[in-house]
Amino acid sequence: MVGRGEVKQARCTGSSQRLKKDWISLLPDPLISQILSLLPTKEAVRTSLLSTRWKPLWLWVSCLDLASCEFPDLNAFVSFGDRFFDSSRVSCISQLNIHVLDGTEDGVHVVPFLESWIDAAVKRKIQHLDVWCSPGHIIYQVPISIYTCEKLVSLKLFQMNMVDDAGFVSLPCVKTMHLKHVWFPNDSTFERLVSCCPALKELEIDVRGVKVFRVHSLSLKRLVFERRFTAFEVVSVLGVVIDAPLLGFLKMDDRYSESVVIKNLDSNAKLDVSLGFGDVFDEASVSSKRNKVREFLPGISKVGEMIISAETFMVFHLNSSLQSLPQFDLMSRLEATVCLSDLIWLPTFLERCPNLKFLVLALDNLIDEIGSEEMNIISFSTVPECLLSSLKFVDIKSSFSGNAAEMKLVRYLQENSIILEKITLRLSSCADDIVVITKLLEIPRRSINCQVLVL
Amino acid sequence: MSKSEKKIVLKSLDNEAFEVEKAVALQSQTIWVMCEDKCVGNEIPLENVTGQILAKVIDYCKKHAVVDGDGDESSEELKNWDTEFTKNMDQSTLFNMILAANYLNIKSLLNLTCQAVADKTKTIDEFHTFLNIENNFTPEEEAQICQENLWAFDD
Repeated sequence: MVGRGEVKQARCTGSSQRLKKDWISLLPDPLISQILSLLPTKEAVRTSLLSTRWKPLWLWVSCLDLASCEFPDLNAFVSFGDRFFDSSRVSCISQLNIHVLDGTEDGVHVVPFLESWIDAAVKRKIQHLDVWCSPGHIIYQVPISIYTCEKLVSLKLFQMNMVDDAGFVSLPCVKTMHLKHVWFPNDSTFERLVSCCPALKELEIDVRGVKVFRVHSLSLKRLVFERRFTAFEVVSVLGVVIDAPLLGFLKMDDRYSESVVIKNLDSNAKLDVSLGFGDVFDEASVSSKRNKVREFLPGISKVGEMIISAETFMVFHLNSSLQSLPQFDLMSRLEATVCLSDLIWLPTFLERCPNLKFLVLALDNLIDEIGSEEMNIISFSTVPECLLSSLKFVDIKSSFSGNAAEMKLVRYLQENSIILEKITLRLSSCADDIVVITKLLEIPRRSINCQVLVL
Repeated sequence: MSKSEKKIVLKSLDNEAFEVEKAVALQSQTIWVMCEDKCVGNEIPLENVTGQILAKVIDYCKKHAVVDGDGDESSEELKNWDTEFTKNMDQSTLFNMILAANYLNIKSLLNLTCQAVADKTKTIDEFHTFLNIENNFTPEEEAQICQENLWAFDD
């Protein structure tokens, strides 16, 4: 065994340097434990082999990093953790990271060990809890004590089950919460969890079992919301309601929610949306979808930056008119992925962004599906205000092949933008460089200072 | 606040006096509490810290006070300074710095000095050689400890 070999060797070294003093062993126990807390857990455990003085000290570490894959099997992992979380010890534990790979295929009988470990950690005033479980047959339960963990600052869970909070929720110190693949029993448990964290700053969620997400928070600054999966029947109405006046960053990736209502957002917030307003596209849903889009739009009118997906841009195009679009007075940067069929609507959208400085576009190139005739039909009739007064930088992120639609877009922007400083393009590898560049150079530029940067 | 009120005198175990800005000294929670209590005058006796160590602690506090106040140095620079600060400290200095940081209750300095020990002892072998810890186990005891936490020793 390597561990013992090392020790024997070290013993020899030790005796030859006997004159050197062992200072660190003279520190009081809590300070040695503090040093051990800074080591990887495995190394901390190994210090039990240093000397009789050090043997029990690692048990008092305040940070613990446990991964089941480091153990020969799940039983060894569970029995180690059980010994560490022995209820007779009262030292505080500030940070606990647990990584559990599902061992059920080995036929191991799994006891709900995580519940008792987390319970023990809550009793020992845990501040940072991070539990990751592999997606498998077993979904471990988070114990109810988590809802009243007074010292908890950050909670990160992956693939776990939240229990119904029958009682009281109090999480006064929680600042960060990441809940991924976490199952909730109902909507109200989720809602209460979020609204009972008065210090919550950052929330990242991709949770299951909630139909309508209600995020009410007076402190929240950053929200990343994903609904990539739904187990509900189509008849359930899915939705999101966000009311967070300090929210400065909001990312939403959710095609299933039909109703998305943003009641409050910080002005100048950064918004990154990929929304579908329901996954159904049939005749009956058209008018309801239109209403839902109109309900959503006013809530985002104060954003400073927006990133918008091709799907969302399309839904906006199909379901809103110039009248129903709000005025995005504060928006200085827009990054949009746009299908060719929606490109014609771009000027309408830009008309509502009178102070836009940066425009980043990616064309969702479904060229094969659109014939060259259709490309020729694309025409931009109006010239929005931002082209005349504020737009300075355009960046086309998708690879540029020089087709009719792309050329029309560049021509439109260059011919109409008065103070444009730079337009950046990335040539596609299959494009004929010289032909494309020659064509680009022939386009007249209304702004005398406009640079065309071809990458 | 007059100029004299802004300054404070820290007196070490071996009677060395250091006059420092109050803002520098108050990074120590212990000194902060003493000042709050108003039971001490402008001179604070620190009975557990020698002048040699106190000078180093004050260096650290000066560096960190300036940065917190003016914000003219990047956190990157500060990190490099911290690394240099502990880099060449020998064991006895580190030992005394940890005790001083703990006594004066300066959390960031305690973390820094504990981290310096942890960084020098990534493996058990390094623990023995760097820290001069002498193994006093019998081979039987060693075997039993290994057996208890087989996973940690078996690689």
